[in-house]
Amino acid sequence: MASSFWRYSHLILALLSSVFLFIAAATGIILSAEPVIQQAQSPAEKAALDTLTLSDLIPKLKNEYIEVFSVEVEKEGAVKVDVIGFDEETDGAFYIHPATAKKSAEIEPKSDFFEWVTALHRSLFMHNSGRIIMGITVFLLLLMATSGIALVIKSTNGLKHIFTRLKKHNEAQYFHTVLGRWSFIPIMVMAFGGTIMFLDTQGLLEKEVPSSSVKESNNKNIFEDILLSEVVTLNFPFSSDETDFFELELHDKNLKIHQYTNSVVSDTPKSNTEQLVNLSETLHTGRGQFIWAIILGLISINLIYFMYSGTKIAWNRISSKTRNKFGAEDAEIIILVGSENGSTKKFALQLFKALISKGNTVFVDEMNAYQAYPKAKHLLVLTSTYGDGEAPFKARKFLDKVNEISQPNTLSTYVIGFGSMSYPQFCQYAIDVHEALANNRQFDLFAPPFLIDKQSFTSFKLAIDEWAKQHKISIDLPNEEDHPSQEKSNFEIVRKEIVDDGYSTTFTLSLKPLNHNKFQAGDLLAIAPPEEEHVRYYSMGKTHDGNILLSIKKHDLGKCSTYLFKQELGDKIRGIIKINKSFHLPKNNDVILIANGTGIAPFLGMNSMYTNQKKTFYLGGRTKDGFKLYHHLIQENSSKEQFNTLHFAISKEESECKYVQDLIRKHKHEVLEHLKNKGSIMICGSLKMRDGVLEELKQCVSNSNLKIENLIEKGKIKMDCY
Amino acid sequence: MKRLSILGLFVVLTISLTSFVNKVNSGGGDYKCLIQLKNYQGEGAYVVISLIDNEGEYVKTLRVLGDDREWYPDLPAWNTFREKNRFQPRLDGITGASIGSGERSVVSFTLEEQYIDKGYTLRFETSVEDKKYHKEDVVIDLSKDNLSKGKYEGEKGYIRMIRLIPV
Repeated sequence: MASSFWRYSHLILALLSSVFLFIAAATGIILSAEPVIQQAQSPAEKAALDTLTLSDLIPKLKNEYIEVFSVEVEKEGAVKVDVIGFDEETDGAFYIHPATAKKSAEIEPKSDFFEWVTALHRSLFMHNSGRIIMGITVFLLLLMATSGIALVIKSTNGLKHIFTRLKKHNEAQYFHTVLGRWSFIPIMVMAFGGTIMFLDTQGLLEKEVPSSSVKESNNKNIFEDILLSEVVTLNFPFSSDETDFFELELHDKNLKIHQYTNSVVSDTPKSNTEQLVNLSETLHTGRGQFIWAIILGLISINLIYFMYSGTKIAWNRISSKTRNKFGAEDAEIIILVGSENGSTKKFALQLFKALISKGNTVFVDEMNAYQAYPKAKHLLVLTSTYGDGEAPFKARKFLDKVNEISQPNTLSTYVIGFGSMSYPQFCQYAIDVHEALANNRQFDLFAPPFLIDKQSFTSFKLAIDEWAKQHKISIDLPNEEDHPSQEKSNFEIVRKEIVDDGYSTTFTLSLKPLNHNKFQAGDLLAIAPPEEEHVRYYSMGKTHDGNILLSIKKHDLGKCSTYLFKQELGDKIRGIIKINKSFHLPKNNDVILIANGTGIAPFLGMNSMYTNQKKTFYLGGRTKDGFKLYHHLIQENSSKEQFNTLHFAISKEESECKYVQDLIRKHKHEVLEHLKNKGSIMICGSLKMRDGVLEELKQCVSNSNLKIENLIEKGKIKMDCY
Repeated sequence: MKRLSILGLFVVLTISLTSFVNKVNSGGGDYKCLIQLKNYQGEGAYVVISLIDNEGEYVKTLRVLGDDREWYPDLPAWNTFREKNRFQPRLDGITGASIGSGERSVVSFTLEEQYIDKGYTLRFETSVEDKKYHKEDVVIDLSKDNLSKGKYEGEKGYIRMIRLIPV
């Protein structure tokens, strides 16, 4: 069955049961403490139960008390009697020591608080109508767990992979799934128990009447064979009349026993239904099984978290739905979205708004709704990839429809893929779509598909801005994270160096923070040129005297780089420091740092951190001159007795290695050893370089049991590329 | 010496015999009581055993089988008495668990001699969650004759049988 079926049933079940499930889970957390407390307070003497038989106990009881009505062995292991005693103190119901039959403890009255919570949990104080509501709720939970696990199986591509590492892209979704996998079985067991208990209270379980067999009197004293641990209750004969028997309930049968010969008179096995109900009660309440009760408490907490995270996931999906202002027939720009959980749709929505606000006619739809677009000129396809390189659910029909439907105009098309590099099939579906469209004359492909890792908005903006520039489409795509609330800090330019290698102009700026800002190499500096709201992010290095080091390539048309290029010593600029933990230098083990072009910036500063760590640099640039900028920084560091190793690749001059990827190929044994020894790799620079490097790294580890995807997932390979 | 001991034995016998006879004759004293329920469909039954005077009014509550106060309003006649009667000691000491369908329970209580043969009755009042309430499931006349029967069948309610014997 399709995952949308499971997803919608999961959501609808959750909505139907939400309020009651919340009450049940919240009270369930409290009630799970009860068996634990009972266990702790119970005067149980479990060891004695496994050694003493009824024939040890009965004569002692008869000696100790005037009259014995019943003996009960509780699930916790305490022995309770109901007797008439010789004095007030030993009269009524109380606990005894099984070995001596003497009174050991009073029966504590039931806690009003737990009684109250139990009534709320079981019936919402509404008696049977409440029981029905809660019974249905627990049954819905059973269905919800089923649809939930079906979703997990669907998205992990089958049962075999159910416990594969999950990729973390959205916190709510990640923990919803992780906790869902672990708590599935206990939830099923608990919900099943609850459902059976409910059916039982409603009399909906078929009760077959077990046949009792009449035993021939064989004068065997059955009490000698029965350990106290097997006993549930023993009712003593009501009178000395021979037709009054001992009534003994064991876990699996009921016996009638002759009161003078102690031999079994009749034997009635418990029906399957009865045993099922007993078991269900233990499974649902944890009574007598305090470890299970703790698990029940944990899954109740889990259920509350599921409600929170589930709401968040559903909200994300719903809020990323959009309303078109123009119809499919009128729009010039068509955005098609293939999204599995709505996150890709968010990008489409922002893009849509940014285009609409500049007066473009735009139409957004999901890929499955592909149709003829009479006035369209541009087509943007934004798609994620599902499972093992498959189309997301809402894009499955897309390629078939492309073949069936003919477009009036040739569409200038751009495919943008969203995915996670920690999947082996990174953006595979976007690549497939691109190829299919490239082979179709109705589409004019703008560029190779642009693949975005971990929903990086910066990359997305880069791609869209480039596309808009090429097609002269005006667009105003805002930066994802403008922090209007965050105060800007002042920075003074204390050093500026420019290098022109004949191909482009690169420059470095050292900025002295005038406010007290904490930062480390790898963090980002957000700067907006004057009179502009939208910031650009720059990776920061740190000089040995604690200043910020920026390395910037000057673009002739780039407003911000031009603005920064104009700054001279002593000038002041304003910006916001953004902590970027995912690109901080790892504290432990050795590190390989790979960069090209201005990507070296965050590494300057890292090289003087954690002095016991071996650092190897693979740096790429166009010319040897290009490295001049960083030379003194590298020098400074090596003069401090640090043995940082440096390797260079020069692309535009005679050199053994042209690109950093060549350096990696050359040193592949060292790189593999490094990874095996739990070393980290940090990559900063262009996306193209990143892809080349990752390709080489894959080659490096191809004969080992390491996987690049796992290393990325574990943060052993860190990337900050643009 | 021998005579003395025989005399002693005789005295003891006489005393015990007279006390036994007294007990049987008067009908008062400690009783144990077995309540056997029928097999019905539903939750455990709440059973209240009360002493009723010749006017049909509650004198006192002897036993409450069912320990969750949430359900006491389901026994309206007795519950009115319970709420009115602030002088009666707390019910804690005479309260036990409810009795499940088809199960039995044995309790003990004292019937003072003053209530015997005076038109007083023992009332067994029962209720099951969301089922019919029986104000007089079983009623036992506290007459010497009736008490000597020791066995009383229930008819319309949840109780199959009551047995009552002196301890």
